[in-house]
Amino acid sequence: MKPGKIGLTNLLLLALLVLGIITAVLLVQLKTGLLPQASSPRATQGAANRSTKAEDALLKTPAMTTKAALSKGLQDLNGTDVGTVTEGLTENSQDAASF
Amino acid sequence: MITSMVMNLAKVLVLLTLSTSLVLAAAPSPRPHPTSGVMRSCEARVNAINMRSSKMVDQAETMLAKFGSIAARAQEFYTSKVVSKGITVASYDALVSDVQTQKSVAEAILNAASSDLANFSCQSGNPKAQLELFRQDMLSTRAALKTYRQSVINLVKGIHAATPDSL
Repeated sequence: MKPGKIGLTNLLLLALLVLGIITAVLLVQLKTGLLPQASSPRATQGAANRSTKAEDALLKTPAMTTKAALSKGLQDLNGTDVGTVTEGLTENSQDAASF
Repeated sequence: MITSMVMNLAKVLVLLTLSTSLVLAAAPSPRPHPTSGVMRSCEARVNAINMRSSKMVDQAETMLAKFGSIAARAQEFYTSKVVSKGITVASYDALVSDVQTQKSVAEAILNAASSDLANFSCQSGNPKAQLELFRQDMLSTRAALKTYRQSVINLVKGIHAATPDSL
């Protein structure tokens, strides 16, 4: 080949080089965003769950027709240990210590 | 001619290899791959925390519903049994209003806790900080539930005190 002359082979190889670089750049930048199929926005479910639970609780709580039923309601309220809602926090902190 | 082509091909291959290596090296370091040990370990911990925390939120929601149902039944009793006998509780409206207010407060804090939990994952910037937010909101939920329960107790006690023993 004479100096300064660009042959067809050289052009093809140059095109191949450019194509390879472009492909490499695109592949490196490609991100995969996989989510488990069963995943769902828990926060938005909260209100719906709560509404269902309120209805269930009302069905489970019998209508009060006597003063004794009121007393039983009071006993029920006083006997409910609210502290149980935070019982898992210590274990959570232990698990989170290694993050 | 053939020698020249082979030489050119070799040069291009070397260039291609070098350029690909440079591009790969310049690319930003990705997050830990889902199959990597660090990521798998993180996800296992997150799953355990999520399960435990969901139970806590669930329990708080059940409690919220229980207090609400007792308050609703007490109000029904007041309207249908007590008022119908010509007896009224002077502070009834204020007591009911307080129950509603405390319920709204507890619900709002519980919503915040649920939201913290929804944003908690290995992909979030700082899972530890996110979990701390959840912890604080659950502690506030506990306090709000206690206040809500007390407001329902006050309402039931008010109605109870005004109710004649014959009922």
